Amino acid sequence: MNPIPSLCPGNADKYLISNMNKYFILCVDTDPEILKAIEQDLDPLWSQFGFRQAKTIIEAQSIVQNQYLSELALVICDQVMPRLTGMEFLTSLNTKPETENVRKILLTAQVDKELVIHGLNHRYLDYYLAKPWNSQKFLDMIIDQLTTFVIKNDCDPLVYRKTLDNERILATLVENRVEKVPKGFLNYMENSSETLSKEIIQELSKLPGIMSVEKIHRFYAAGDIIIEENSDNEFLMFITKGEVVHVKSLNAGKEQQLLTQKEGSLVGLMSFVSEEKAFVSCYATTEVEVFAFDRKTMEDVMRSNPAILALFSGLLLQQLHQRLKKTIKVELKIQETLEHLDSTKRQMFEKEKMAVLGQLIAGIAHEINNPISAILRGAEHLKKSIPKIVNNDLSEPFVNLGSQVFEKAMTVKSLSTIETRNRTRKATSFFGSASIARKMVPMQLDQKKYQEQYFKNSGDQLGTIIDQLTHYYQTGNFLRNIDVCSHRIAELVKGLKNYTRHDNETMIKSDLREGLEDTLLIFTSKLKNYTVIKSYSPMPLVECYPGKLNQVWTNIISNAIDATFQKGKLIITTGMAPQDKENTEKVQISIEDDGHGVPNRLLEKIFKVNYTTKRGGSFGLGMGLALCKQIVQAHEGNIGVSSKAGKFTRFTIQIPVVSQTKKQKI
Amino acid sequence: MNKYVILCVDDEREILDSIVKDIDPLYELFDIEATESVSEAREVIAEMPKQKQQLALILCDHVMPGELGVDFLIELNKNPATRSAKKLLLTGQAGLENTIEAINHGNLDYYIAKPWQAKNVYQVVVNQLTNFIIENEDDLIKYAKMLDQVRIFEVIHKKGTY
Repeated sequence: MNPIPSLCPGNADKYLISNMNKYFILCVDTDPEILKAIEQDLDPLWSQFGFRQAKTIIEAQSIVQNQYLSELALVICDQVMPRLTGMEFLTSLNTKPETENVRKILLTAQVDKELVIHGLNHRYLDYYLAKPWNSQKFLDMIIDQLTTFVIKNDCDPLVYRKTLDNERILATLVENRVEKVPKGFLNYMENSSETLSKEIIQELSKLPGIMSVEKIHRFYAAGDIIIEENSDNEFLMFITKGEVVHVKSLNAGKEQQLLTQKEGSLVGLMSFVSEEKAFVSCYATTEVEVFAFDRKTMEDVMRSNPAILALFSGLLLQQLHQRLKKTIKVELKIQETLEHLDSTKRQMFEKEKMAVLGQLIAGIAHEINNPISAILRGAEHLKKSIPKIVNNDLSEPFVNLGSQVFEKAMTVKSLSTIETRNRTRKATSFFGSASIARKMVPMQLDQKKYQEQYFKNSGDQLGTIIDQLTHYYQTGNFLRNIDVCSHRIAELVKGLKNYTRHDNETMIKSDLREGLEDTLLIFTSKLKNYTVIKSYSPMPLVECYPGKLNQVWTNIISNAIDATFQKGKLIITTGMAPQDKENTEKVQISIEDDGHGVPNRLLEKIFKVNYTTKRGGSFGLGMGLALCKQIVQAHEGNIGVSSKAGKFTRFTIQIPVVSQTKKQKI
Repeated sequence: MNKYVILCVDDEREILDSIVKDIDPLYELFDIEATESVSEAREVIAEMPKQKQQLALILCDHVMPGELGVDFLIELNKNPATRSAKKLLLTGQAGLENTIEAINHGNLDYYIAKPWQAKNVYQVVVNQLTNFIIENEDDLIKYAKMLDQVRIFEVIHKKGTY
């Protein structure tokens, strides 16, 4: 028998009067062979546990009642016993407080399922063991049950770690230790920093033997540096008086003030704990007094007085908690700011699109206005001229001539104004009258054959006849004009529809030249004063969002228009891009103007959001090229610019023929 | 051949045809010339002195290839031969900047927005021609029947030349 190693205050007298084992195991069975087998199987336990056996329930009951030097820890009982069943015996143990916690194991060869379930459910039973059993498994089970018992019932289960389940015992021990840590260690939020620090100062002053307060007491004047950023810090400082500020140096010599701390706070916490170089500098803003602990002093103090350890850890946790809270708040704020920036940027892009759209609509309105004006005026003139040709009193040859004039006016483009003028000049001498000549020329009746065939002998009627023929001419001419103008409007609307087409989420294969043409079409009025040179080399269909790319062309062309002050040259080139390192097949579009150019120092900036050199009245808000870049990048392409001040600006866009992602949302 | 010329300038032939037609009745007293470009208009204007003709009024489109209507009107204002001519800008691009520029340079007499109505344009042209005739012509009677009779007779009455 081993001496009792434990020091357990409640049971101390029992151990002192006997060196018996503290706990015993009781086995109850009518069969001595079974009892012997159990004793053998559980042999490793007997160094620390007593073994008692009973052949009858009565015997067992008397053992249980007379336990005074040693406690019953576990009972193994056969179900089939004379007078009382094993189950009944185990149930009776359960009803008494002193045996309630005993681990109860029922042993039987006859399986009565209901009985077992009942016993387990009501916790009368801890384990049901069927005969015959496997020795090793039986031992493991008993060890498991005993471990549970000692963990629950013994104040020092560590004693049993060699015979029982060492891991479980240790784990429990750690848990218990944590629970038993002095109060105030984890409930650091209960006390204010102020209270905590006062208590710490008090406790520190009670420690004359370990260290003298003078040794650790330090003084700083306002402005003194207490800890310097990026230097080693060996001290954890506890402010007893004054105020300090934490400062982090930023780029370019700038500093960011982080937080101020007053008495009761800890300084140098992070570098002291992590042993890394100080992350921030710390200055005294007033006269400051601190207790500075180096590692050794700190350990000494903590060891000497558990109360200080508790207070200190409380303060430590509190300050960490405060700093963590502050950090989280800052992070949230940063997140919020970033989100705000993001949405502002999106809004700016939207505004940019709308601004450009507004400009385009103005241009298109003009483009449509002209033909509409001509149609309106033409229809008005027709209202007057048609009744006149229907109700004329011309003779048949002149009606036929009128029909010819009408036909021709309706199908053939009018003479140019220059030709009209030149021919009128000639015809004036021919007809002898400028007013007749100017009417004859547009009808193209200013030739000798007509003169001879129709007008030679008209005499006084000539003027009236010519006026009536003019009605035929004008009717034909205005019908033709209306036709031409209607087609122009139809073309414009078609172009507009193509231009503003809504992109699907997936890319489609498209000929980029069509998009360029659609874009040029809506710029027709703006580009009237420009020589547009198109140098379109063949290129394959490109996987893209055509509508988005139209925005790119639009922005670049509108920039070109602004840069050239509404007059100049625009060169648009398409073709295959030169091969790059990755060998990706790319098309290349370049748009060049002969405007004032972009100075080299600004070339990098122009793709940035909100960069603009434009003044009021021109396109956009300075977001255009940033938007272009975003769109081109979404196509996995790239956009570049080259320029020579006063000479040209050339934007070059490269877009892979086959998109890798295909579904990237812009 | 008339003494005074009305010049219409528009690069779009259909518009030009319409405007010429709208002021057609004035043919009795004025030569009406149409040109499809500013350069052509310059040539026509340069020809006028040879024919002993003078530009009385110009109706000019604003947005045209190569040159802007406003610029051309400013140019005419600098030329002594055409300074007195009435200058009308015809445009669908109701751009404020253009208008302001033209008015500030004091060479725009009237601004007509497209699409226009025949009656209005005719009325505007008649009014402006009346101004021109009163300012530049001694023989007012000749023009009274086609232009603003009331105003012309008032002037005649004041001058006491009737």
